[in-house]
Amino acid sequence: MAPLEPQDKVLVGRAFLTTTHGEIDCESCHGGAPDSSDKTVAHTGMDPFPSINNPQQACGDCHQEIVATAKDSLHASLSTFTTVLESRADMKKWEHVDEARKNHCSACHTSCGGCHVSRPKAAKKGFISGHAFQKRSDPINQCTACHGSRVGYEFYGQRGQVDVHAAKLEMDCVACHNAGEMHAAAPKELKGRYHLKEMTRCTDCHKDLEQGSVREHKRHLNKVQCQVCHSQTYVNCYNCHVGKDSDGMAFFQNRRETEGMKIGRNYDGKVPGADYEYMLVRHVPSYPEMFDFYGKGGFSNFGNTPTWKRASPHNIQRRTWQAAKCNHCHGNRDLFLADADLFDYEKAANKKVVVADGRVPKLITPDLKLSIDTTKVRREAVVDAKWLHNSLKKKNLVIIDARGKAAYDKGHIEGAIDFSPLENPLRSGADAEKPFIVAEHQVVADILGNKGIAADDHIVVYDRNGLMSGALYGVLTWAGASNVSYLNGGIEGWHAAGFHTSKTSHTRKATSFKGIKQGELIVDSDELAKMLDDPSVVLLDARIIPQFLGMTKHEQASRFGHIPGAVNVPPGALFMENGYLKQPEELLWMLKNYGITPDKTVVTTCNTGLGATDAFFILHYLGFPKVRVHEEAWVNWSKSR
Amino acid sequence: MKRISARYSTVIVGLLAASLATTAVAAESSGCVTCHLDKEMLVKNLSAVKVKTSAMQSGAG
Repeated sequence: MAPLEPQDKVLVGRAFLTTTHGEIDCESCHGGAPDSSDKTVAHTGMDPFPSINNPQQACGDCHQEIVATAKDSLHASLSTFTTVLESRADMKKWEHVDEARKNHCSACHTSCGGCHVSRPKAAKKGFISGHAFQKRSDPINQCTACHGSRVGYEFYGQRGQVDVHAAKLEMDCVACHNAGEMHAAAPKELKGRYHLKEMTRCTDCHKDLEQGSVREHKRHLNKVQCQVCHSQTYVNCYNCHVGKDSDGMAFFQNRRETEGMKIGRNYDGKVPGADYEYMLVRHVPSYPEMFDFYGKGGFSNFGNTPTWKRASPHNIQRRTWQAAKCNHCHGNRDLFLADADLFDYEKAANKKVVVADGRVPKLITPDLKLSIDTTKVRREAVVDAKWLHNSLKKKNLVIIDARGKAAYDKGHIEGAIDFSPLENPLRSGADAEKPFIVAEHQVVADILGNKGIAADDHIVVYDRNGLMSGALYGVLTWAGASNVSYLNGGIEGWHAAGFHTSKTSHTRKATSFKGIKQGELIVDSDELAKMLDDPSVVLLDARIIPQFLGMTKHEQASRFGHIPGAVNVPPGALFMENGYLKQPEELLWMLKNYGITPDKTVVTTCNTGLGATDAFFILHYLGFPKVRVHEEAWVNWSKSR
Repeated sequence: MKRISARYSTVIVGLLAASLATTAVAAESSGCVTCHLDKEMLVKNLSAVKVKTSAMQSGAG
């Protein structure tokens, strides 16, 4: 979410003046000296955040009952952060721990205004509707402005295939997390947020599951948390390093994020409604030395609280891979948290969470069969770090770092050349009459040749999250390169495999790129418009769901919405964190659920062509024979159709 | 008595009308909105405040 312009942050809309809140003098809530025409004088004593600094006076005069509890809500107090830190801390050193808490853990709290008037302070603030008060919080500008990297990404399709509540029902955050929960006071002794008795539960809506028609609900109810079967993979964080820089500014460095899924034992049966044995657990980035900058030994009781904690990922689907057949879960030791998954420092903390071998549900025979044909998968299109490391001296191997020069200069795979699709004129610019269109074939061939890339080289592309290298895979294939591979996991996969990087720039001797253009891989808007009614054609829209549903749009799109008949498969469904790919069988199964099968012609589209080309890469890798890219994409389509 | 009553009524009606008029336009009558409704003036008078985030910060929060 782009920050608002300074003037837009404080611009009051005329419509606000006709609302109930517009009937109140500004200075009643904000103070200041409004009679002065001098900016500085007028703002002296002005409080831009009255609901944070004085909620009782600013909001409580009218909303007395709500403010009485909301001022102590989890959003306002973040009290459970303190509870967890106290459980791990040496209380003789609490002063240090608490200083760290204030600097690093308490930045995100909010109050009435951050949910009903403006973007929250932690999200760089600004009125979202000309200071008009909104009863229903805005999911983009408010809720996920803070709860973004986990909840927002999961809910809107940047991690997994979007949440079914967003995609099918267009539900927003407060549809589940209602005022009763949001305004509830968090008692001081509250052990964790899941202990809040007002917290929303799946079963508030999905009632009487034991009486329903789903056989597996009857079998698994009260044994597993709903999310165990209905969530997709999610992110785990490790080793958050905190401190202050040379200017005294507090910072954090989240050093490692991995996408995956682990089932743990329910270590805390006192959570209301949690009468099950198994639940999803997410790794938190804490470790014993995390706050050492403020004073060593602060977490002498680190073993008191698990680092693999109860998780409720927000990417719910009715059908998920782990529940697609019994033995994706039953007997799948890797899916359950094991002692071997733990670092030494966290073994004591998680002893109640680890699932011992004997507690892993037994294999079921016979199991369901999924008819997924993986024989057409182009396995050679994806290589791993180990293969690449062993092949570094291979003749005609070209390694392309697609992250951009800044990242390349900080360290790259030895022998890789710097070649980002965004930093080379492979397509028209944003200001062009028809923006983001791939350049003439000869122009692209010349650029590739000048970089020392030949059409018959074995070209391996990598980046940080797959999106640049996936796009480059598509452009190279269109240009006629015959042997292109994608490095699974990109630079993170390389690091995780224990291989070093180099800071020495590498260039290749210019050559001639003699590839033959694969023109049929691109379809323009005129041709696409004629294909839309053809039942043998599927249009895959690879944008995030808020754009697909018309809640938000790309800044260059002329309007909100999507091409009629398109099926939304967001980027998070196709690529995992750090550019890792799910197994072909799972990807094929997932696409089949959308009606995207290899017997169809699949046209991919997005905003500017990049995401569409990423989707092309995935489908090409999976062996789809007829995949075409709508490079004009929504930015061009929305101008004239 | 009737005269006094009528005089009071006039005053009360007058006060009520003035009070309602004041309430209905309270924010509008505030000096604050002279500037805060005027986008051009805000553009002239405001500049982007540099976001106070350490250059050492990295990763998702």
